[in-house]
Amino acid sequence: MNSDNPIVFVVDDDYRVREALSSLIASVGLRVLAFGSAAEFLESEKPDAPACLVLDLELPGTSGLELQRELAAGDGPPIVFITGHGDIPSSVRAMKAGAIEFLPKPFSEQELLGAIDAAIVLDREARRKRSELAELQKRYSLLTPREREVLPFVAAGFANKQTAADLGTSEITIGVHRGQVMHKMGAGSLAELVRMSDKLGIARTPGRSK
Amino acid sequence: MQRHTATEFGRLVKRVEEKTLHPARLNIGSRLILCFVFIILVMLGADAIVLWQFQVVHAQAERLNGIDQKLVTLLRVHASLLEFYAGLEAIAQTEDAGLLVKEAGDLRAVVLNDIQHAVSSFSLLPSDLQRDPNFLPTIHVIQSSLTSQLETIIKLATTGDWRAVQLRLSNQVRPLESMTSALVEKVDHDAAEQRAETVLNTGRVQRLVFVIVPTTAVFALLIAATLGLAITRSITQPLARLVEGSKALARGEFQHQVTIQGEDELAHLGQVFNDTARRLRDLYAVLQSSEDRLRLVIDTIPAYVWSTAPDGSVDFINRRWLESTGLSEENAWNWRSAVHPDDLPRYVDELQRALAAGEPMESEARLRQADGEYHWFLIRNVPLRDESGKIVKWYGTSIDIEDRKQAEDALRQSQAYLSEAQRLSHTGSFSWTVPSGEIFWSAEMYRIFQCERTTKPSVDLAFRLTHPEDALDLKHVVARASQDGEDFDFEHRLLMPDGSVKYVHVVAHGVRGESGELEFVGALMDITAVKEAEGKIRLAEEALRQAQADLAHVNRVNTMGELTASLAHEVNQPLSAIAANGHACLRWLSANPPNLAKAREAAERIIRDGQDAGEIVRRVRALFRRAPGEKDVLDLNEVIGEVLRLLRGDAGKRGIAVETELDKKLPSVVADRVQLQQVVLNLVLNGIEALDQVAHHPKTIFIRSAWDGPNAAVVEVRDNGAGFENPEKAFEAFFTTKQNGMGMGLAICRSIIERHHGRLWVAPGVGPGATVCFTIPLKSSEMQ
Repeated sequence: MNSDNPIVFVVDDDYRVREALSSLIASVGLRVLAFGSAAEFLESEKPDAPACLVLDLELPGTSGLELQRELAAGDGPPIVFITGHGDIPSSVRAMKAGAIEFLPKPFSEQELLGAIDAAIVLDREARRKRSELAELQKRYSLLTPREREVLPFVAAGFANKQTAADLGTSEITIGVHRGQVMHKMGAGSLAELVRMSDKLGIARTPGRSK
Repeated sequence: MQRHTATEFGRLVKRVEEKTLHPARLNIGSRLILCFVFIILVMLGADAIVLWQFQVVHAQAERLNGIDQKLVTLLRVHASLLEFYAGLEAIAQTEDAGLLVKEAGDLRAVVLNDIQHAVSSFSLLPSDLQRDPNFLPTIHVIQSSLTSQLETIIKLATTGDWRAVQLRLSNQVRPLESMTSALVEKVDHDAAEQRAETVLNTGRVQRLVFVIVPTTAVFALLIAATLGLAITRSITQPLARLVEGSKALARGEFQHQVTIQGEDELAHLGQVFNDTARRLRDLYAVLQSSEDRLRLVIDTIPAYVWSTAPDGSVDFINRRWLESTGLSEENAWNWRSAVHPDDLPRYVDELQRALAAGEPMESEARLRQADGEYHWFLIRNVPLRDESGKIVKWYGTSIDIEDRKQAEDALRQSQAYLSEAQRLSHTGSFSWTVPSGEIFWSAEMYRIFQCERTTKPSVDLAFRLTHPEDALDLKHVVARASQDGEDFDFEHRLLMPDGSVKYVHVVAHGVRGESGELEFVGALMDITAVKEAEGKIRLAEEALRQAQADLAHVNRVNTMGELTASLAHEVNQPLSAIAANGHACLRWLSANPPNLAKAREAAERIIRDGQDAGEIVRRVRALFRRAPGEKDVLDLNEVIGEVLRLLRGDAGKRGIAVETELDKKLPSVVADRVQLQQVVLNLVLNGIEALDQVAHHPKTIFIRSAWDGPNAAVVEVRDNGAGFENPEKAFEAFFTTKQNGMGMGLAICRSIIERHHGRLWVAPGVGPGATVCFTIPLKSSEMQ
């Protein structure tokens, strides 16, 4: 199965709801994994794919909101809350903590499926950014310490001559480092390198101190 | 030889010094005098030796002089003799007898004179020079023969025999001449010998002088120096010991004693010194013990004690200070760190002003204790002045007044509370001394009477503000009380200047003071609000009766509402599932190609969940049917379990632990499931609500099922809430202790259980909280 094939996790302690939701979600061609409790979900192995979590608010043991808090620490999937008798404070808390949607039972299929779709789109984007950043970090890790010193100067648009003066070396050496940085970071152009260093959160060397 | 003598002498002096004449035996004065006398004697001796040596040299010179004189005398005799003979011969030549006679006498006189002179000078010579035995006899021979010969010659001349004269002269006189010249030669020889000897002697003596004089001088100097040294040492050594002793004394080593030798002034001084040191030591010990005592007192008294220099720098702090504040001795000077930061600037300011003005100060400040807490202290500081009035020291004490402060605070607070309480309860207090008519009012009294605080309270003032309709009665009561001193309790009205009316209630208690004067102490309560409320309550009571009439209906609706809410979730679940399944089913069917198997599964689930929902609805309906429901064979524990599943979440949210002790071996009962559930639900809900009031201990609901004899089961529901005040009343309709309840629960429960041939009752209290039990017959007995 394609690893990009999205997956929906359903966590609800009521087997009837669990089965019904699994069937409904599967009917639109999404993969489904259902769990009876937060603990089961946390222990399970999750495939590496864009995902969405349909989470019941009232769960035995760890409650839905508690699970949301736990997941917020890592790179958990976006959450769609469902609840039997949702009250306003819980819904506000859930939404504030970043839930995609908060659906009181019974809910319409469009509401649920729409929320799931939105969540998956969001997660796919987030995952793409994460992997991109990971790739950039991997490339950045290949740089030598000196090249890492040179990178902020290049990103800030300094000429080799200025950089060489600031780092106390020759212009030619900086030229070589610059070539290496471009090559190792896989940057086709200076603009691309600047974008990369922004994504990596590398501060550009500020204006000359003169 | 002399050096040897000197060392010998030195040794002697030393021995004498050490043994017989130890210098310290004598006083320093006599010792010095003796020393000087001895030195003078030694110098005199040395001078005598020098003089003696000079004498020796002088004697040798005299001797040389004598020898020369002797020779000169002899030569003169010889010369005059020669002259005599020459004169005689010359006269003899002339042959003039007259002349001879005339001249001979003169010549003889000259010669004899010379001889006489020589003899006399010879006799004057030192005896050792007169040793020539021939000299005087020769002179005498010459003397005698000369006279006789001259007479002979004169006779001859007178006779005219000049020839004979001449002969005689040449024969007789010549030998004399040779005799003297031999003598001269001999004497000359002797003189030369003696001169040589004398010169030798003189040289020796001079050499001796050169040795003796310096030796004597050196010797005398040595003795003088040795003596001086010995005497000086005999003085400086004890002096040094004394100096050392003094230094030790200055260092405070009072046990130091000076070694004493001899009995001179320094020895006396040493003894005096030792005595002084001993006394100082004793004195010091006394002082030390008295200081220890004082120190003990200072360290023990329940106060901080310190002293400071005139500039305020601390130079003494007692132990209690250190112990209480927990500051180490090195840090004690930094007393500021112990003062509460809020008090420090003020205290330092006061202290500086007191220091500058030189006047005693008294202040209060909080000081940190070793446990970190601050205590209030009363701090006093007084200056000590010298005769000229200059401040030499400041002495201070700090006394812990925390308790007093707290008491003051408590008093202030209690006064504040009292005042507040009076204000809140609209109760003023007063005292009234009857004979003097003096009255005291608390602040609230002024407020009630709407008077300025400056107003002087009086009985007349009170009368003036009293409602005219009540004034007479009040006057009567007051007059009687002031007569017999009895307590009084009176309610009346006040008419305020603004026209408003106040109801007040006065209670007063009469007491006799020490001097027997009557005094009333009392309280006056503004009961206007109470009076107004009483009126309102009358109205409210009527409204209540009306409300109670409406209540029965409302209650039924309300109970249903509560149950519906509890069951809504239960119904909602299958409904949600049904809806989701329905959508899924449609989707499976509309898929291309349609997934019929999945669609069927979904449809089956719809049917199942629909039946679930139907069952719930059926049960709810049964619950509200008045008629006994359908009776099934039920597991009592299962019924309890179902109820608890419904409520556990709710209980958990409220922090209530639900514990069960269910007898698993209990046989089935025959009962209406929903009604039985309702009873259990009701009892547990009651418990949960009772526990809402609990705040101080863990909240628990305990449910137990067990045998009740062979034919029945008993279920006990216990909570640790407030419990029932009146258990039997609990079953009356409308009786409730719950703010939100309607009081129908237990009544309904009892009627349900009774319809099932069981009993329901409130068990007598076992510990805190309420225990409600019910029994229900077991299936076997039902069958019978």
